[in-house]
Amino acid sequence: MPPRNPENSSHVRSTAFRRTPRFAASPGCFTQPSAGARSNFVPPALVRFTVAVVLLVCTSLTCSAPAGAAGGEEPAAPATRGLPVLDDDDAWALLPEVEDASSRRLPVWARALAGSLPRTTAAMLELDYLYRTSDAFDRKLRARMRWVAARANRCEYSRAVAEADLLAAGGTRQDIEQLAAGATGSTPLDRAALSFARKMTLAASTVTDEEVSYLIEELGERPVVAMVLQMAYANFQDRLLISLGSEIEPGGPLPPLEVHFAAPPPDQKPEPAARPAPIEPAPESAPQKIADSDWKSLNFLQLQERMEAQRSRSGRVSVPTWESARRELDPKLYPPDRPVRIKWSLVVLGHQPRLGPAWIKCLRTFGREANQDRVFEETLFWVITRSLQCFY
Amino acid sequence: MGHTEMLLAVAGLDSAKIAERCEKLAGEDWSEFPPAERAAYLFAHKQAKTPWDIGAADVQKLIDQFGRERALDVIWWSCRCHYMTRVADGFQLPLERENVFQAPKPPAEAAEEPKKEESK
Repeated sequence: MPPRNPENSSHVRSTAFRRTPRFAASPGCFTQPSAGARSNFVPPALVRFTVAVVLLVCTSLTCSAPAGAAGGEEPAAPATRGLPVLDDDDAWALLPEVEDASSRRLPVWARALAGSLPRTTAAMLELDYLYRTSDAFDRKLRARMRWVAARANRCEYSRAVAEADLLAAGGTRQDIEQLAAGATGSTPLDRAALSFARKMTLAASTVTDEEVSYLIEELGERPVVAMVLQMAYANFQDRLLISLGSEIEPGGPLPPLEVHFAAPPPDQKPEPAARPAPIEPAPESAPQKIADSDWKSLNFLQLQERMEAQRSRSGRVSVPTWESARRELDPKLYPPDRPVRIKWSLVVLGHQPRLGPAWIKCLRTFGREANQDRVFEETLFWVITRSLQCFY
Repeated sequence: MGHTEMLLAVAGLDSAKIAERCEKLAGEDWSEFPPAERAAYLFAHKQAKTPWDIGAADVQKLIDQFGRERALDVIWWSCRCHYMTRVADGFQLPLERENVFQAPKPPAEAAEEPKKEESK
């Protein structure tokens, strides 16, 4: 990760975000606000409230009126997959208070999410920077693995970003051409890592103990844990990008956005976000049966047996103790007297104390912000684990 | 009990309700689930198997059922599960035997457990 430099002119300091939620500077030329801009101070809470009200009104109008009903006018903000995408200024205005940011340009996915999940979006922006700049293992190999995952998921956005990250890490156009031509790697380690990336994306349950063991022998346990987390993030992110219909930003992929959001005051408990119910009943009901010939290949009892087998198998990586895992963690987020007992959490926190906690922060933030019904959430999770034959 | 079942227990379902729910899901008939939930589960299934086929119509079905904001929550959560399954499949850690998502019982309550079992 490049060192943070508060004197670097490309970085934005907190005052700019706090005092001028709407930016006067042109894209790519992001500077401190002028004295005149400072005099037009608007409290950020008021700005967020105003933008939220405007969005809510726009959303209600577009939900209740057919396309073109308002005199054929185009909406102010582009909509993707029926979901509004804000411009940079409006999105920043909704995000939590910023301490420091390397650019004013937000990736399109952040502008699509900021309206309804601002706090989660903030956590995701910090997460994205960490994952895109991580040096937990070779950066070129990381970018190439990300490229392989993006291609397997057919996510053009991620593929373009992975190419940019590969070039930034010292890769060449020839490296990209080789990947595009289907090259599987020039060394045994290279081949194993790229194959691992593909299998983790398309059929993670078929990855073998031997494949992981080889990577650990060659690289060590911590880098391989990072590889798993990178592929996990890729499969989260690609699905989100595809679902949002995200297209690469004008001018090409944006560089990793280094941004730090201020932590909320300890006495402030963020409220769940507002979730208006649909205005009209759904035009058609969902099918009552799942149309997948493979679905019934395993009945409930067989699924239980697979899960029981998972209890007695050996893991592929060591599980750190809570005492060792917590050493590098923020005690405010992970109080020493509340030990984590979940094995995967111990693995990611203990072996990757930057990548792991950043993801868990996203989960916690989303949980509080979306405040969905937990039975519904976990049932949906069950459907996905069954779909992927992940008996865990 | 796998992690999803453990989390269903944390969400408030008892063992019988969890088994009943999972058995229904394992079958092909999901008619007992409300239409919005069915739409979400079908979306999640398709997104798991063929993410590249998710299009505007799939998202619109969620919006129809949940509204825009909630639909986005469903999508986010569905995507989130793919991080978790890759971690599970990558590490293949042995499943815990107790529900590690629930706070450990206080010693006094834990000591009472055998007596409760015996009295049944």
